[in-house]
Amino acid sequence: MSGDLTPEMTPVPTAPVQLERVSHWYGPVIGLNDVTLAFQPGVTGLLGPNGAGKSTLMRLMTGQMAPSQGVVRVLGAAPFANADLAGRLGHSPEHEQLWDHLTGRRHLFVLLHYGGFAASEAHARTEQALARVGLAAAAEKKVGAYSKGMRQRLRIAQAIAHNPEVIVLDEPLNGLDPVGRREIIDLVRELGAAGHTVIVSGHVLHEVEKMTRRIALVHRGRVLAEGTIDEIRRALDQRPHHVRVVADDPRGLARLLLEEAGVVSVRVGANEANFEVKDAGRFFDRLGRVAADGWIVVREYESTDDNLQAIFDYLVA
Amino acid sequence: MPVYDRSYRHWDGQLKRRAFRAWPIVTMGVKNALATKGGWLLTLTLRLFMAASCVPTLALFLINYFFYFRPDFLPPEMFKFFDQVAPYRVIQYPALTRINSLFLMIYAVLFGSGLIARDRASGALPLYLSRPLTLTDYILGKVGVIGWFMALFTLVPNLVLWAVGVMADPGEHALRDAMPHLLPIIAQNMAVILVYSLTILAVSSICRRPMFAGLIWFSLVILLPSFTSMAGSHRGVSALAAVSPNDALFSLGYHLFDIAGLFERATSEAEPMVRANLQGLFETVKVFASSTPLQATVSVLAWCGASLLVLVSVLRRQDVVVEAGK
Repeated sequence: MSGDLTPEMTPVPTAPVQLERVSHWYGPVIGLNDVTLAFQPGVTGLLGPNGAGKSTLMRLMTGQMAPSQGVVRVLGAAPFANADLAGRLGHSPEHEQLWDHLTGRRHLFVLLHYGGFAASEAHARTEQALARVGLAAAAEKKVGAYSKGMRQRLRIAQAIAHNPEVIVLDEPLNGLDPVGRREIIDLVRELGAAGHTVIVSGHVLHEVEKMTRRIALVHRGRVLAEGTIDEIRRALDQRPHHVRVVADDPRGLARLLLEEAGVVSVRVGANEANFEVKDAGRFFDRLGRVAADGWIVVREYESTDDNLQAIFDYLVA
Repeated sequence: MPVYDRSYRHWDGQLKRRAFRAWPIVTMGVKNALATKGGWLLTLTLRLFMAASCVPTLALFLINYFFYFRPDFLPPEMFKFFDQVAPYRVIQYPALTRINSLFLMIYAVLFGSGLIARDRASGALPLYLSRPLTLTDYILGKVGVIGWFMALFTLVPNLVLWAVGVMADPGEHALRDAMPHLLPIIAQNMAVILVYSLTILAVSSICRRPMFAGLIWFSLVILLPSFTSMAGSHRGVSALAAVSPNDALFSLGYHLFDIAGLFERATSEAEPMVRANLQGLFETVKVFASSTPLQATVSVLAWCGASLLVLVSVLRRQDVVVEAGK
């Protein structure tokens, strides 16, 4: 029997994905250490260097492994060996998990058919998913002949084809060309905007930043920070904020702001001043007043470390 | 900035019922196994081999048809001989299973050795387990694939032979007379299918290379029987022979069809010429069945149980699933 997407809203009372004090060991090696996290609908970036524990976290969320300790709950149920939950989850793994002897179209169809969809519904969904990831033109090629980027698209297609509530994408931009990256970033944002809970791992920070402002930072099996980039940055009080201001009289500007805006240090150049400030809010407030009063012409300003890379560097370095 | 609908919109269509989730694995697996791989020479060889494996069934069918049911085909004295032999031709069913088992061993290796090993090597295990499929569905699906081939070359030929025998028999009570043979046919062949399928899958699950799985399985069904038969006859212990899956399966057939009882009847009732001919045949059949019914049944159950245990414990190991993703 086929069906359409229903317009009803399905409220999510708690976070769709929750981990409570989860640890996982690979023999004597610890993969995850006492991790507590909650993922809400929308896109969340899971960040960390290689070996940080991102893939372990994703395998636990998708039920490929059971935690050594702690509780993992996805849509209210434990995901490990939970076949019914698997139909509501989509997982695009980092490593190769494809049948090379099948065509892309057949590959998707087989997986949907295994997922319990009748042949007609599986065919329709196959075509939709292929079109969505931009693989329709290469659908009849054998997967073994696919480029790395095409394989990545196919992995994403199989993760979203059954319209799951929770989508876990492990390094989805790996192997994609710039156009492909742009398309997949847009797709991830679309999925998040449509209410799916999308968890995306990556280590190319500016690309994750394009997909979402909400992140969880993992390092050496521990969660270092969780929240929006702005929230995390604000929480890092001990680290002064870096602000670059382009002005007609940078030296005069520095003198004015040094007096009261919690400025720790300043470097003055020909037409710009680089500040280190403790309280960014107070500083921008004061800068705004200076500019508004017309004492000094402020042409542009930017917070040079109010981004993912800076936060990542602060936390991981 | 657009305001998006933040709610998830679910699909309210019906999925396949839980009980039928393994079925797509069976159908896709069989199609995949039959798909042409490895060039025309290999394909031609496989097709010829498949055709050759139909020869015993066809030969038995022709013997049945022309020797038992067509009085005009043979000289009267020969037809009279076959008419007297007819009550004992039930022996053809275990004999056909025995002959077909030689082909089954080849099919088990060809189609079964890579069923799980290839999934492990190519990292496809998480592909199955990330669907709404349980480990039981996966195992059932794989048993279904290899079981399909096994059934096609052992149970189906026996059933065809039985059905054709009933249809061609001009006797008034042909169906009533043949009915008692149906259950033993199904029981013996199902035992063969289960033992061969489960053992090859168990071996396939512990290897990542189908070739190794095939070699190990051949050692189990060819070398082990030779060793246990020799040891059994040397020591005079029939239980040793039952260790071999093949011996257990054919002993089971021997007892299910009550070949010993049939032989007794033949020696007491049949005419001397018929008796002499049947005696040689029975002696040959008896050689392949040296275990008692209990030993054979225990052996068959033990092989199935041990294979299932290996399958489940290997596939439940997390590192096996995780390794597949690397």
